[in-house]
Amino acid sequence: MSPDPAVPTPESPPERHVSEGEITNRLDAAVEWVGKGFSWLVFISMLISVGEVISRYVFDSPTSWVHETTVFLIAVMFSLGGPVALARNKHIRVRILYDTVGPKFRSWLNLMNEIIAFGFCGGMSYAAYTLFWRSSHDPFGAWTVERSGTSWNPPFPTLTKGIIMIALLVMTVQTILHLVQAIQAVSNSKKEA
Amino acid sequence: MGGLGLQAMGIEWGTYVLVGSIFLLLVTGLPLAFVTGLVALIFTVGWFGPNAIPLVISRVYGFITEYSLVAVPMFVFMASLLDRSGIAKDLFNGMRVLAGRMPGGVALQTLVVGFFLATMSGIIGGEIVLLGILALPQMLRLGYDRNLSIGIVCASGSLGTMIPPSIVLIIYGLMASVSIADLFMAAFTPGTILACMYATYVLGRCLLNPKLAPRMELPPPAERKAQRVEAVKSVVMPAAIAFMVLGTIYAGIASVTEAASMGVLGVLIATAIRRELNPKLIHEACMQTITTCGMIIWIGIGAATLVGVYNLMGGNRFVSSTILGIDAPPIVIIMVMQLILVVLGMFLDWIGIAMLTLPIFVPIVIQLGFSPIWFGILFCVNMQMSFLSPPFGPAAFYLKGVAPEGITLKHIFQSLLPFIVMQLVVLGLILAFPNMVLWPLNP
Repeated sequence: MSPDPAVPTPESPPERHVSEGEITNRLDAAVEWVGKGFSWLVFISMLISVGEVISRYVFDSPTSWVHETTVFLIAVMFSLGGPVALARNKHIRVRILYDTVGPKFRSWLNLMNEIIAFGFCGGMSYAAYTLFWRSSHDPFGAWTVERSGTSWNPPFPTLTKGIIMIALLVMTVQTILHLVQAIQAVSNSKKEA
Repeated sequence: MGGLGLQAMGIEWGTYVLVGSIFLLLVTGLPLAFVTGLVALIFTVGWFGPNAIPLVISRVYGFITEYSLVAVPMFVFMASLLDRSGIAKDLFNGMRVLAGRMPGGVALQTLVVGFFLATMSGIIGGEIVLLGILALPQMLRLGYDRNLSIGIVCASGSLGTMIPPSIVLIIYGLMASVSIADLFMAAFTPGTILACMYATYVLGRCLLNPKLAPRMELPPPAERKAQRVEAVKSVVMPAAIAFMVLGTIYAGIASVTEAASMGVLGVLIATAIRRELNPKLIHEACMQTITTCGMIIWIGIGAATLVGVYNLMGGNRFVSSTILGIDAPPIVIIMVMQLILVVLGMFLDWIGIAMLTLPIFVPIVIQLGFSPIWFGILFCVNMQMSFLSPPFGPAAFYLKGVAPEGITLKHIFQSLLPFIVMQLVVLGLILAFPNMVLWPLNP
């Protein structure tokens, strides 16, 4: 299983500039606050899934909306899990070099990583924007909504693609702030030297 | 608009550059999700041009809206709730009945508890931490051999990967398009064999050398009876929860996703009966779920884009023609794949390995005439080994977090060696006797 947020990792040295598990700016704090609200989606999904099983077997009346709704709610939670994990710098990384180098080299490594992370988030945001645009506009460029095409036919595809885009945009801003912090850390370590 | 000329490299060099740049970026400590995603983007634009971007990103949408993936947060949620309730603690105390009666009793008690926890939830981490807090100090206090104690805690705590329900099998089922219920069915035998091997190992070593595990005195008969009652009581709830999850899947009543939701409800009911249920408990578990899923799923997202663009480049055809072109018996090719998985398992997270290798490996396995279910179980055993194997075995780091002072990572990895060997033996057995896993599927 992937490292669990509840489990302390004492192997990580304490002096890092953005240590794992710490909130370092207001945006990250806000992301986590919003994430706390959205984390209840898993609870809601559980309730309606169980409700569907009961209504299918006990009342013999399967629902038409539970399946799609659970997938949608969980997809929203998955998307927002990206920024939430980023807020505490929890994304899984290989620490082979990171943990062996000194603090100065590490601050340069951080700087480089934040630049690359910005490249990823920025590029993916653009990609997600194209995905969302195609889903929300018809071939003539007028606004429309992509629907799932089932009998219930909710507009979930467009909504989900919009959420993916929002999650990536938030992550882009987060990495910009982390980049600024990394630059500060590097210049601080230069002053000390 | 065409690409930026990267396709001039040809697929062979393209593959080398792609794999090379991933490893280079990984070493710098960049998150796995970002590395794969960024390399995917660069190759998309460089090979095909910006017009191909929507095609690649649409795989992200396809991935996160997979119905069977919904089971993952449910099992994570279930485990998060279990970690916060006293169910596991009571189970451990209840299984004390085993402790005085057999050589290495507390180690066996740990194993049984680990097995039960594994049948309830499909993720590890929490289980190792729980056993590390409950069982390890007790064994050390009683004078058990340190290595044996550490080893059995980590090995029992990682059984969750192998014993259904298991998240590794869910992701495998998703990637290989095989029935997750079938995988769960097939995994039970090797999982149980593994647990039995651990038990035999503990028993054998303690019989040969009683100093490894000093016998506890048997309690007076009256207390023994009380212990038995306590044991039965402690097993009722976990058994009911496991039955709710596995029963609904095996009986075909509900999908794996729905069964996982039932399991969550089961744990909630159990905590309510134990008067532990409150909004704070649920809220903390929810928050842990969204963070853990954020980590798991975003690795999947990065890998999905990478595999998408690589296949578009013709990479899957290149790899499969290369592998199928090897002049070797098919079973050797499977063994080479296992070796690749073992090596990757030393450095990468299991979900990254699954997402990156399975889209390429599974079609080859099928083309060679093997069962993808069988390969899934091999994959699962392999990933279980990666949890324990140095230098980054997560199991060791989990235990280190809660182990008594003086226990170093080196001690832990040393203690895990015999258990890794046993996993290798099971891997070999499954390779040699596919029917060991396939018998429940073709009666």
